[in-house]
Amino acid sequence: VKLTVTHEDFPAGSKVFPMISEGWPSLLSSLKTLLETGTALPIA
Amino acid sequence: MNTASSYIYVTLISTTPEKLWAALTQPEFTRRYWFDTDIESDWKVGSPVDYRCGDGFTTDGVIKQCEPPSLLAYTFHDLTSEEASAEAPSLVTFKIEPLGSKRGPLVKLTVVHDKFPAASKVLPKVSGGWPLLLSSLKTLLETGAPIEIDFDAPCTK
Repeated sequence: VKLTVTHEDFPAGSKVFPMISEGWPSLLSSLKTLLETGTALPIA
Repeated sequence: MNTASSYIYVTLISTTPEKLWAALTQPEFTRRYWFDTDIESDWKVGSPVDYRCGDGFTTDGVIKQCEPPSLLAYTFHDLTSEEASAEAPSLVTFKIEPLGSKRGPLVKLTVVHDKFPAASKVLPKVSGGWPLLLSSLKTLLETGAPIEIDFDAPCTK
């Protein structure tokens, strides 16, 4: 499957945007690994 | 209206920086997930890099930065059509950061593809291609087999 996640409509100068920009790649990478191998990524 | 002028992809892969570097730079590895493409270079700054597809080439470029196993950048000149060939080369940069711990090996791969000319025809094309091959790269490194993708890539025609 192809998963597209769109997170938008942030206010100008958003403090949340830089945070989620770091967070989404980590959890979506781990989600893919969990679905494909049965185990999540070893994120410390 | 989409005014983006660069493509950025960030993914975490359960592997080591050295294995990921090999997967990006060794043709016997790249052909397994890069739509049958052999990526060939001596990986020295200033050297050519060629995407070989059978007897032909789909992309060429010049190495700009090469610091194994953490940083690789080369120019990207798409040769798959007359329109693409006529366009000035862009730049693709791979950054590899180790995040491994006692819990296991882990790296963060950041791919930045930028320096496109205005109204680039290549940018929308690579924006569709990178997710496919980088997803397959992750799966290959973590499971030993790439994703089976029915994709109309230049090399598989």
